[in-house]
Amino acid sequence: MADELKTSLGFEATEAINVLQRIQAELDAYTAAMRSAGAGTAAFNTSGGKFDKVAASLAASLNDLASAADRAATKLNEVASANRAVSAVARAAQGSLEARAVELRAAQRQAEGIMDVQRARELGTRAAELERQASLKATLQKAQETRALEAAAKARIDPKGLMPATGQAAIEKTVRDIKAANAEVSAFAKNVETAGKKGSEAGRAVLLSWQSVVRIFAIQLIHRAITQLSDAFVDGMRQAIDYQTALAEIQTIGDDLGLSMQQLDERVVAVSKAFGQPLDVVAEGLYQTLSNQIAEGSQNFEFLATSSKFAVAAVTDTASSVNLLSSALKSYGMSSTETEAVAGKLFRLIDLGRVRADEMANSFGRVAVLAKQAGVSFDELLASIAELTISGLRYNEAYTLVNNTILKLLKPTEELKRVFDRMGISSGEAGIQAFGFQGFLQKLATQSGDTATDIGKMFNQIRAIRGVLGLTGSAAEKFNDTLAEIKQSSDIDLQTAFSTIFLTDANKIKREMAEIQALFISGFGQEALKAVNAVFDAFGGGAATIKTFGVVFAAAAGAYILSSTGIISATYAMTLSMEAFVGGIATAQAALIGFAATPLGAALIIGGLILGASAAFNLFEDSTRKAAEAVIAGNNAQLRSTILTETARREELKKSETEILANMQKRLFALQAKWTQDAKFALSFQQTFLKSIGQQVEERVSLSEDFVKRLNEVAIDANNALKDLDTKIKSAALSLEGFQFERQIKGLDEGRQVVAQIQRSQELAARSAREAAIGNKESASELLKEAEALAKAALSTADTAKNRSLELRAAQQVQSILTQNVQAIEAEKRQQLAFAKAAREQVPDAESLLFQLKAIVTALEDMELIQKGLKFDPELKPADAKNKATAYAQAIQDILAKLGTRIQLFEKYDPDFGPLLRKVREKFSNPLTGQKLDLTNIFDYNFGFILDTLKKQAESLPADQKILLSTLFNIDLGDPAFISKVQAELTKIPDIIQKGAKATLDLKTNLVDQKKVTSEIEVLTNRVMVSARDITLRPFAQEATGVRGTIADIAGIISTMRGIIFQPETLRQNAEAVNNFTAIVTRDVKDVEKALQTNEPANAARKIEELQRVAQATRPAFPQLATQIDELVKKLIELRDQAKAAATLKDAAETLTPMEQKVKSLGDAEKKANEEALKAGTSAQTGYNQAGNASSIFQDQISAEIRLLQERNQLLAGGEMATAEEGITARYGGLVFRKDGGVILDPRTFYRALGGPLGTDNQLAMLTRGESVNTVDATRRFFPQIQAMNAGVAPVFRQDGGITTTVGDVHINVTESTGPRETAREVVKQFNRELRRHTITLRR
Amino acid sequence: MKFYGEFVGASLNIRAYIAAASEYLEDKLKEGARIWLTNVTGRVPIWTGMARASLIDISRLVNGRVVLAPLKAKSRIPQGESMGSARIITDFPYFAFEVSTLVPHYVLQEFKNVRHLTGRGSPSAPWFSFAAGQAAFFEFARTVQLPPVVYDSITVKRL
Repeated sequence: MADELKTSLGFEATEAINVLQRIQAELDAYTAAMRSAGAGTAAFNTSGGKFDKVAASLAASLNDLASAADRAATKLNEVASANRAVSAVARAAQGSLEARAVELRAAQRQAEGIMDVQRARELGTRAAELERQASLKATLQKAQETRALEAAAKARIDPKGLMPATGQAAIEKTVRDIKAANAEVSAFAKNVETAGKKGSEAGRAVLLSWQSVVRIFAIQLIHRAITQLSDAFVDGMRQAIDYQTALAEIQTIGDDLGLSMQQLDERVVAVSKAFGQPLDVVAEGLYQTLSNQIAEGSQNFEFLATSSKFAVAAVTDTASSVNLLSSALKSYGMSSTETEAVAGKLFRLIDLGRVRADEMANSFGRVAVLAKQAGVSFDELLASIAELTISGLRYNEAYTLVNNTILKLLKPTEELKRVFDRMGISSGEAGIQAFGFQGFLQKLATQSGDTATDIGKMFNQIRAIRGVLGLTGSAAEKFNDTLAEIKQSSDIDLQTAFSTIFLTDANKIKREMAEIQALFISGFGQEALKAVNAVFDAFGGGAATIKTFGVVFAAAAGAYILSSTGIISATYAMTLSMEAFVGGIATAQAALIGFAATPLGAALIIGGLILGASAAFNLFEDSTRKAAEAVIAGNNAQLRSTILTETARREELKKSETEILANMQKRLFALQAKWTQDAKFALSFQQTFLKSIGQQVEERVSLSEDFVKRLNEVAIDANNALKDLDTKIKSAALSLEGFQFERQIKGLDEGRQVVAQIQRSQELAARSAREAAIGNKESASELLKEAEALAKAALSTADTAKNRSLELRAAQQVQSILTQNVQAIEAEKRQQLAFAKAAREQVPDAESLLFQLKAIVTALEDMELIQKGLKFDPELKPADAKNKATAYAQAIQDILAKLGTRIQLFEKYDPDFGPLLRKVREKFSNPLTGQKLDLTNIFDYNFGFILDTLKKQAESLPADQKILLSTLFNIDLGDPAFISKVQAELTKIPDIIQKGAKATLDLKTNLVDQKKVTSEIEVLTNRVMVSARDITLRPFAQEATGVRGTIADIAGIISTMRGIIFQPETLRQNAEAVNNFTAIVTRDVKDVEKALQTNEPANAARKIEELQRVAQATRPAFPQLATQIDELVKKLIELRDQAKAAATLKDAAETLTPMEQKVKSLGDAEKKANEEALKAGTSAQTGYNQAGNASSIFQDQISAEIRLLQERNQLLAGGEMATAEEGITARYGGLVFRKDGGVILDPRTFYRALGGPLGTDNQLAMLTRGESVNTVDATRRFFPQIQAMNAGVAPVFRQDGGITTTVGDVHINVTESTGPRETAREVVKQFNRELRRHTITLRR
Repeated sequence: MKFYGEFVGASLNIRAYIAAASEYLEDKLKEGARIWLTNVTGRVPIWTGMARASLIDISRLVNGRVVLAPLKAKSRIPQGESMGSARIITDFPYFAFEVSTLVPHYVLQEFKNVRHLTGRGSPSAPWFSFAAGQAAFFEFARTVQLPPVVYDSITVKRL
């Protein structure tokens, strides 16, 4: 329970390090953000490089596009120029031919004159008709072909119709648009081309590649067109021969057609044109049709048309188609009207199966005939072929399988016949009729068990077996599906397929080529044959003609070779060849002159020439036109294709560019957002720094403010000091004024002195009022006091002078000043009241709080008294009082907090609560800091003071008593070993026990008897007072000595004063002399006045002279008198002061006497007490020595006991003690002693301090010196008494010299009369007796 | 189009700062403890050598000064010294000193004037010496500033 004063002060830099770590984190984050920005920038730089590349590529591509557009425009212009040149050449040729025609007409007319006119007219008419037909035909064909070419080109180039109208203007507009776009793109490219050098290089490579591609493509296109034209031209002549032969063959068997050669030619050409089939093929088809005798008359051409349609749809030629269709029709006995239906089914077969028409053309008839004979329907036959080819067989194999199967059905094996018999079928035909072809085969297969072995036994031929197997079993279902589709097919399928294929570009080209070919074969070819024959005839045969025209044809051949460099050149060469041809004819004309000499020869020659010229002209014109149109169309197509391609490419590039730009934009936005975020972060960081700086600035400002505040305080202090100085100066000035005033009035008479004093008093009073008005209270007070003193002096002087008027006036002045003083005090009071009122107004509930405070303080004081035991309240225990007091104190502190700074106002100005507040504040707050005090500590200290006093008393006990105390309270009385020790000890030192018992009882009494405690405190207090006398009385005695000296001095002064007062002879004499002198002078003056009034100047003059003489005689005496007066006054002042001091000392002397008496009595008491103490000390010293000896012995015994215990503990501890644990020097019982001086408790075993390991002491206890511990049994047995003792209930005292302590039923009476030894024996005897009676036990 | 730049960031050497601050604050703590001691001993009367002696521990730790000149009972100086204890804690960021005295009359008269009860004791009690020392220490602590912070630089290129 020791009290401790403890403090712990220091710094904590946690917040500082937190701030630093926060700043570090912010710095790291900022650096990381900047790193991220750096990485982002690097990424941007990388992507920027990619962008540069893409932009460069885009620029190059756009440059390519621009170049291509320029080239296209240039090419277009070249084409246009070439066209114009061709047109000019054509026109020139036409003009030449027309001129030649004119010449021929002229020759005709000439011939008409020579030859038969009728014949000439016919020839003329024929020529005109030819011209007209040629013209019309050329015009019509030109228009048709132009439209077809345009439509085809437009459909191919611009299927969605997005292109502008055809024509040069539209193309040029497109070129202009491209150029405009190119300009825009160039502008864009210019912006990005600075970083696009590598891209430009790549672009140039692409440009070169593209130019190569364009050139190659153009060359190929031109070459192919010219090749086709030349092939058509060259083959035309050869095929014309074949075609004419074919037509002749047709006519040999086509009598029923009733057509001439030309008509037949026209019909064949028509079919050829309609279906794009070559003339020879169509002619062959017609021949086959006629040969197969499918139809009659014109129906043959319908069949031919259908066959041609089938040929187109089935992608075969007309002849194969004719053979297939005709064999199908013929096999199944169908008419030509069913051609389209059959063609539809056959087409479905081709569609479903894996078979082509030309494969079936020559073999289908054989199986079809057999199938028809066996009763297999046409559809079943087709379905069978389709099914077998679908299963992976080729047509020939399928054909053979079906054929053999049908053959076996028609000519069954023995086994098959037996099967027929089992099925009740007479023949294969009957079975097919009954079940259908596939159904019958399925029945047969089922009958045979669906095994290949059994089927093989039935058909006995491997191909038949495979055929059956391919159409039965799992294939049956597919067969039925195929059969159904074939049954449902019609000519619509054929038409659909035909339309699909017919409208393909390939077919169209094919038709174009066929048509061109037809032109050469049917038109030009036939006519040329005639002309050539005529020429051959004219020149004596073919060989002779070739010899004649070899050079010309060689030239034409050379021109043709040259034509491979370009269509224009080809056309031109063609023109040249025709001109050469015409020229050749002109050259030959001379050779014909002889022949023309005869009319027939002339006519033949002229007719042949005309026909040849017309045919050549027509051919030339068509070729030229077609070549030009083909070039234009080709160029247009190429241009449009290029435009479309480049437009698409440009759109793709633009799209790519847009995507790139969008991505870049996104990236830029992202970077911008990130940079913005970083900037915000940086800004925030800067703001944080600035804020930190701001805080520092605020701290500086705060420091500056503190500094200024201190300066202000210094200034205020200085001001106050100045005020004080000012007050002092004023005071000094006032003293000076007073002194001067005294000096001034010193020589005046009393009346004037009074008047002057009153005036000065009034003046000072007025000044006091002015000072009070401006707040200088001290100065005002001093002035007023001075004024009062002057007024009183004036009153006194007036009284002395017995001047009632002045006395009254002075009295009024005194009264006025006193009144003014009262007013000033009242004003001060009013001001204080005003302050108090203001304070109360500032705290509305102040008055209530103050009354509460007063009540609580009163209650608290009661609590303190109760707690200290100075006041008894049956309903309140001291501990509760403490708690209650703590609550009261807390309430007081709350009220003080509510009053706040107004407390000072109340303290200063409130007459009622000011003292209370001062008292409370001093008590409940730290006067240094103003902070709240720990109330608990306060009460602990208050309460602890009492205990501390008791403890001190206990500590001051002699050692033997302490030992006894510890023995009585700490030792187990039941321990036999201890009892023996105690008994031995008691035997040895019974007197110690006696004293110890007494001291113990005294202590118990002190502990339990509050009154005793109080008296003990009083005794202690008296002792303190005795000790204090050493401190207080000695200086007081010195002071008294000083006072005595002063009194002696005063006595001397008084004596002197008395001497002055009672021996003033000189002064009186002087005064009398002065009075006499004054009387004489007064008398003389009156005499003078009287003499003057009586007109006795002589007397007056004489008197005056006497006066003057007296005055002259007395003048030296005045200074001396004045000096004497001064000295007298000075002495009077000194006397007055000394009188005052004497009066004070007298008063002190009056009080000194009782004090001296008291001091004396105290000294006597002290002396007596000292003597008693000395006696007691001697006795105590004796006892102490005895106790010391006993203690020493006892301590030795205890030490020996401890050693025994230690040894025993060591033995018990066993190996543990042998182990030298680090840091542990020894281990005794439950205590472990460390090398460093510390002690730790060994938790494993607890031993009693002085006993053995009894095993139950397992509670740690820390005791204050003087406290005791009872045994368990004692506590259990005497618990109520212990409680009573702790509660302060006193035991019963007996007055017979002994004491009785009630401990259960055991009574031990001890009488001190026989001495300590006897007492001890008595005690032991009593103990033994009680032990024998078994009323007590010393065992646990 | 490319961007190039260089950024120089800042970094705190907190470990070095803690080392510097620890040394600095330990010095300041001892200085503050000496001020505390001066103000405390200024309020404890010189005649009580036992009370003053209980402050020897802290005086030794901080190289302070305690004047021991008791009017009597000089033998109680060792007793007082044994009843006082002090220690210094310098474990960054905590810097503190702790003083304790078990001298009863010091503890009592620190808060109480017992002359009206005992007739003896210090007229100047209650001393409130620890409070005075605390106030002085606080006054001193307000002037203690942390040492300046040192920044290291970090360079980020390719910006």
